[in-house]
Amino acid sequence: MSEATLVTYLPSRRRRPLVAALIAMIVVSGCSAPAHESSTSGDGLPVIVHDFGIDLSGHSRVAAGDVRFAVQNQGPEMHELIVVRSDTTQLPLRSDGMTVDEDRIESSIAGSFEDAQPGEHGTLQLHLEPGHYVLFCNMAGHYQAGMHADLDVQ
Amino acid sequence: MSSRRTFKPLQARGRRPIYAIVIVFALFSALSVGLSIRETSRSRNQGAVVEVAARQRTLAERYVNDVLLVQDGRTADPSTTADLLARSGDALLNGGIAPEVAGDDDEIKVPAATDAGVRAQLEQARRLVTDLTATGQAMLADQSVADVPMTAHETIAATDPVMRLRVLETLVSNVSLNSARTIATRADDNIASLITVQVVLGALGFIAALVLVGAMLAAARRQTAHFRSLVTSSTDLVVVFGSGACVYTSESVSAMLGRPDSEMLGDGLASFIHADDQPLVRPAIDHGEPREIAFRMLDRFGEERWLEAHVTDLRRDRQVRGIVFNARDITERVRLEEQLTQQAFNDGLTGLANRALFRDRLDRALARSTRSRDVLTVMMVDLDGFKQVNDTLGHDAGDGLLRDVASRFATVIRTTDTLARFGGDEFVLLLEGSDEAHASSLADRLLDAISDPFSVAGRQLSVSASIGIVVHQGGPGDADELLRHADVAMYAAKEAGRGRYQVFQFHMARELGELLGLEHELRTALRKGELTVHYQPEFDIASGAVVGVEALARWESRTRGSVAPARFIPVAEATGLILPLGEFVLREACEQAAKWCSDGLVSDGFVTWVNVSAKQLGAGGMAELVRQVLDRCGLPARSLGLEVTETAIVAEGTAGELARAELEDIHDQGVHIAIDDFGTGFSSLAQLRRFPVDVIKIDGSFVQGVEHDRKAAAITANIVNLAQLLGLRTIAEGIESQGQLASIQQLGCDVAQGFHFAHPVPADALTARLAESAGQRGSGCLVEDDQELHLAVVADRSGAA
Repeated sequence: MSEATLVTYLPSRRRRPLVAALIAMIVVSGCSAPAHESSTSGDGLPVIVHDFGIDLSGHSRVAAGDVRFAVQNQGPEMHELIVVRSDTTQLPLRSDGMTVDEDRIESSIAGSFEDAQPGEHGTLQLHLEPGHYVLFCNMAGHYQAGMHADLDVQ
Repeated sequence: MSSRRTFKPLQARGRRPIYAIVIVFALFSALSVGLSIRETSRSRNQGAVVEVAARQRTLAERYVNDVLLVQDGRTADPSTTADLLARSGDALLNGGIAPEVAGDDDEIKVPAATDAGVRAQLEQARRLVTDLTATGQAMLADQSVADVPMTAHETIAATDPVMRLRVLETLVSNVSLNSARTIATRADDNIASLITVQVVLGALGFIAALVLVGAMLAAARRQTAHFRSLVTSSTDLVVVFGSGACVYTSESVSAMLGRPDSEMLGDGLASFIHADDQPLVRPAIDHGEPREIAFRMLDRFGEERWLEAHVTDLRRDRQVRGIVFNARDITERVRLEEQLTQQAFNDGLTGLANRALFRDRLDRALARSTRSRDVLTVMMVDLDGFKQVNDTLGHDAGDGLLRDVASRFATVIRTTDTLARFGGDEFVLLLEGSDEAHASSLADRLLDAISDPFSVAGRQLSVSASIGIVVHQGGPGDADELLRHADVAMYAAKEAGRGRYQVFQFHMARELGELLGLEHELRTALRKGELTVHYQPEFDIASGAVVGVEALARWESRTRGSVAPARFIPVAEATGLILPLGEFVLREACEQAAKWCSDGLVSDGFVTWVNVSAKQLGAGGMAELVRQVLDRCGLPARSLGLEVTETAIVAEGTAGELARAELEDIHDQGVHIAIDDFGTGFSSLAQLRRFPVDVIKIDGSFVQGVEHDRKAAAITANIVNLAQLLGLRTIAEGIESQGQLASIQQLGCDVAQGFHFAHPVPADALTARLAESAGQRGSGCLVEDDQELHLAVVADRSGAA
């Protein structure tokens, strides 16, 4: 995430009661607080993560430079999205064989969107040099179950 | 708006906010507790779910191991594990019993998943379990695992069956753990929500309580202000004492006393209480008793203000901690009462005590005397002849005289004596500690004080008084009796000649009692006709002929029998009944005389004598009455004679003059006038000459002594001589014997009268005798043969006796 900017999250369901309570507090107490900023997927490269796959909606190529990924978790499970420059789709696995060995590809990782809760939207903006990139989820077994996609940056 | 103006005391309205606060807190507490209970229960259930979800990971690992063991030819039961996985997954999703895991966990009851996200995860986990067990079964059946359909959308690139099995196991574990985490997170969220809700509820309750408390305080302030304004604007006085010192006074106290609060707080207020009232007020200030007091305070100008206070001991009341005086200014009322008392107990004319006050003082004095046995004296003072002053000079003059007399009396008495006026000219004195000697001395001084003439209406009037004294020798006594006895003594003084005092003696009381009874009966007797007229003949001594009769009133009482004239005539004199009585006798006698004349029973010189009292003459109108009666009866005036006493004609002043004028008139009509009871009064020769007198009736006391008493004989002789010198005829009264008759005949008396000849007899009896005598005489009025009648009368007397 060194080059990534986590722009915003939409409010998740788990936060709704707290938000509602806060709103009630604000209304009752008469205080004011800045409204929670929200955003939509808006423009950008749509990336749908789900059990168990990453769908780029046919956009397997993008122009180099600043790339904005509009990430949406449509699966029931929590996922993440890691963007790594790799010449091949096959990434090195750790010894358990269930996760990608991120230490070995650390220098190639362009950025990541972590802990995307089910139903969550978010954007991931990266500056990508031309090359071949692999987008994958490194939750245990998810990569092996098919959660990875190729992206060519030109 | 009207409801807002209506004041309601604290008891009626002030508790509402308190009730509201309690209800709000109860509601919030119940809500809070309910939420806590629900959330705690949910957390417990979710704990079980998390446990079961976490167990799925273990079961998945066991299943893979079981499959690998079986492939390795060792004993294992992957199908049972698969069944456990499937049943547990179903239980997590739809609720129910998660089965026991042998050697590991017991059965766990879990609720159905309700959260959509959790359900999606659990369904995914169930699909992965299905894929896992299907892959395991394919391996055990030596079938191609690549052909096993994947139901959870996984696309496993690995072709190695064990790797595929492990990937699926990892996915099952991962998804199960994720679902457990999600469930735990939901629980955390719920706890957080609960905390938030609790905080909000607490805040709302706190705010509601603040609002209600504010409302209550506002209401209390309004009520306090209301009460304060009531207290401060009330004319009633409110004073609070704490530990004997004034700690609060309402504004009205300052206004009434004209003093600032600073002067009254502390010991100031108590110092303004009248010194005489301090012993009354001090216990109330210190102890709250007595509860009802009236006392005086001195205002800024030193004037007394009367306060009537209700005292309430509120020392135990934490809101007051003192003794409260609720007082009213009753100064005006007290002054009015004093004024009314003054009017009620004082004589408006003289300013002296009136009958009510005197009576009160006398009662108190008698009460003291009962205890101390001190002597006391009551004096009744009546002015002599005051009525004439009123009649001749008018009531204003009379009032002026009374005021002057009161002033002179006041200079003589002691300050401790009570001088009162009972009305009219009647003054009464109460002398405490005064014995008879002192009272007599004072009576002399009183008489002396009024001896100098009074200047009334431009005239100099000489006034005397008759004083009755009664001495109470100490001990119990009766006020009414003392006053009555003083009155009796005063009356006795009047009878004794006026201008003097008499000390009460008990025989006076007996006489008075008799007189009072007689007066009532005599009044009734006059009305009922119990009075009659009897006639006593008078004889010419020379000829023995009946030349007249004296008409005498007789009273035959139905209760007393025959009442002697000596008993009832003084009563009639004293009470004024003599006027109707005298008129009655005059009319009766004249009618009878006229009848005798018309019947030819008496001669022309026959005179019917009627007694006339001094009061009749003094009352006026006597001459006119005589004229009317004579006219009505047709009786010649010369046939009527009036007998008057010496005292009636010799009285000084107006009464005497009026009597003499009446007599002149009557005499001018031709009526004879006789001086009755001559010799007993104080007539002088000169006076006899001034009056129109025709006859002198010599008192029986002289006549009866004439036979044996040389002095009586000498007086009688002189009277007869005097009469003869003045050309008056004489009638000797009360002849009781032949010897007396002979003696007076010798002295030269003209006419005789007495029991020796005849008692007074009723008209009918005398008429019969006269008729008999006239029949013997033949005709005419002259009684020529008087001896017959004489004897007849004597015989009648004997018979009567």
